[in-house]
Amino acid sequence: MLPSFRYVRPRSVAEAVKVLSEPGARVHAGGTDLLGCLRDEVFDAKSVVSLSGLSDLKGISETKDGGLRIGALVTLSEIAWHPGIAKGWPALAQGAAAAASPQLRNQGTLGGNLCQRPRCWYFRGDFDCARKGGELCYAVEGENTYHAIFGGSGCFIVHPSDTASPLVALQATVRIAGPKGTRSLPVEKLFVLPAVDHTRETVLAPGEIVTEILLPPPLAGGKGLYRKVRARGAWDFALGGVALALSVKDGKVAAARVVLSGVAPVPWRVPEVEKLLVGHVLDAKRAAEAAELAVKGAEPMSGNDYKVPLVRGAVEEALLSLV
Amino acid sequence: MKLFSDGSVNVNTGAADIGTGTKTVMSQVVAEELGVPLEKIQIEHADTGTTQYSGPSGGSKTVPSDMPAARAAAIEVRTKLLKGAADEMKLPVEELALAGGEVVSTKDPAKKLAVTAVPLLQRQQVLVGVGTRGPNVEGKVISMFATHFAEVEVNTRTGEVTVTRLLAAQDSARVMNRLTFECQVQGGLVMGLGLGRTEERVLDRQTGKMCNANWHDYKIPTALDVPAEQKVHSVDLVDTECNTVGAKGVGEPSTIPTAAAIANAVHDAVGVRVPDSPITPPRLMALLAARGKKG
Repeated sequence: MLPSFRYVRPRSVAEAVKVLSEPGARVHAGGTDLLGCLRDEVFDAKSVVSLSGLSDLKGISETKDGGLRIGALVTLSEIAWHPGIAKGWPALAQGAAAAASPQLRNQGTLGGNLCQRPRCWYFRGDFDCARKGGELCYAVEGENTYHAIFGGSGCFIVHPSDTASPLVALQATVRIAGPKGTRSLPVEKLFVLPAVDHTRETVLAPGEIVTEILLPPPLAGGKGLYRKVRARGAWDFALGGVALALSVKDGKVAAARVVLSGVAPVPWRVPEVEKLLVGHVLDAKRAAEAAELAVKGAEPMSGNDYKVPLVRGAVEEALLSLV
Repeated sequence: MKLFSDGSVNVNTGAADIGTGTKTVMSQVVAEELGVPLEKIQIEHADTGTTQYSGPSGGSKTVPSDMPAARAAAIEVRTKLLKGAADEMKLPVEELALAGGEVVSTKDPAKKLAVTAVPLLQRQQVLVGVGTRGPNVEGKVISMFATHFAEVEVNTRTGEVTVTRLLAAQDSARVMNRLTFECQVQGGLVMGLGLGRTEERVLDRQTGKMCNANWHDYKIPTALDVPAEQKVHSVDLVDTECNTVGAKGVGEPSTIPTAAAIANAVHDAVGVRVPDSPITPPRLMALLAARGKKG
């Protein structure tokens, strides 16, 4: 049941930041995640602060350097259908298109997709789990088919976003507004591993909101994609996936960013794989080696060891499709 | 069943229509017996306060159980009506037939009388018939049969399964209505596809609580999971002994074989037997990887 809360619709970022700094305030962008969490009583809200009145947070525009500025309130549908994004930053367009369902993509925003709460059924369900302040991560001894094979400790969620991994691969920057002013971070630095703090997913302090995402210009000879493996054709989170952003010069890989999704509590970058690719021709042999390296060090739980071959297969297939 | 003096019919029955076409098919049965158009028939049904007894909607038995009862009720009304008409027309009752809201002589079509002009009906304002459905013929086993065919594509790198085609062939004896039959079998295929590919209840082994009691984690198939080509074929075998309408049921056989057909198709594609449903990437990938290790 929805809790009783105060609804606030600020007219400026400064006002939004002010009301969001108050205890019990929850930010409402698209609401696709917030309303589910409130109805399922995952957390409470004293006030719900809608960002819908903030036109500064909307729109997609080119930056001076040939990059792109995407407002935090831009919907996943807008990103998925934007011809410029599909051409210059295909991994992001494909990530946005792979998320959720058409209705949810029409409503869900990029900022919200980055800041959504985890989908772990112990976190969402009637379990006093560690992420909600309890003693246990129930996934350790329980039903962990969909849980992490990398980066878990004390909590084994996987990050649910399909746009986060592409944005990390594309070296995007996130701009944040808060009580102490604005700041910028690489998207890669937005997320928090459970070893650091298992009760939150982002570094956002109380009152802080994501205002925009900045993409650097496309690399010369750039290629990229997002490959998501899921259990059903739509409205499903990743069992495993990979975002690739490569550039190819004279037949050889000049730069590479490889970021896995659905396997860790944060978008999981694999720098060793990037090193293996750079400076070499991408062929079937190297793709297979890279895929093997991508899952090296994985620590599967009782029910998710399938993710190791699955992610290896997805990475190999994704790399081969760029050959 | 009541035939009113304006020629309209009310059928009072316990049988429910849970989207399976019960009302449509029952109207057809009554229309055929009484020679009245479908739009003159009102089905008043499935209200425990006001309707006659019927069994529940299940067991693939609404058509074979309730339609013979409707037919028997219609025959009783028809018998009363024709007797009344025969008296008025001074013709033997065997000579009379019902069609288009009229009683007509089969020997001389010029001799006819509107149903609404039959004095018995005018006098009583309503003719009532009650029908029941008795037991099956002794020693006769009545079963439906269905065969499903599945074609799949398997991504051996990821364990993803795409069902590309489904075909159902079903023996329900007489098909009462092609559209409702086909729609029900199509729906059965999708339910079977859910069992075969995506739907699964997950219980937490530590607490016994259900992990996926919501429409996101409990995955019913979406439009993207249903194959673009999904065909339904009726075998159309004749069975004159099963009941007085010659129809067997439809529902369950349309959903029973699907998951097994998909599992067999997966085996045919990649040589792996998946003994549990649904066949998800986690389950299939684990088996494919285990086979890879064995060499």
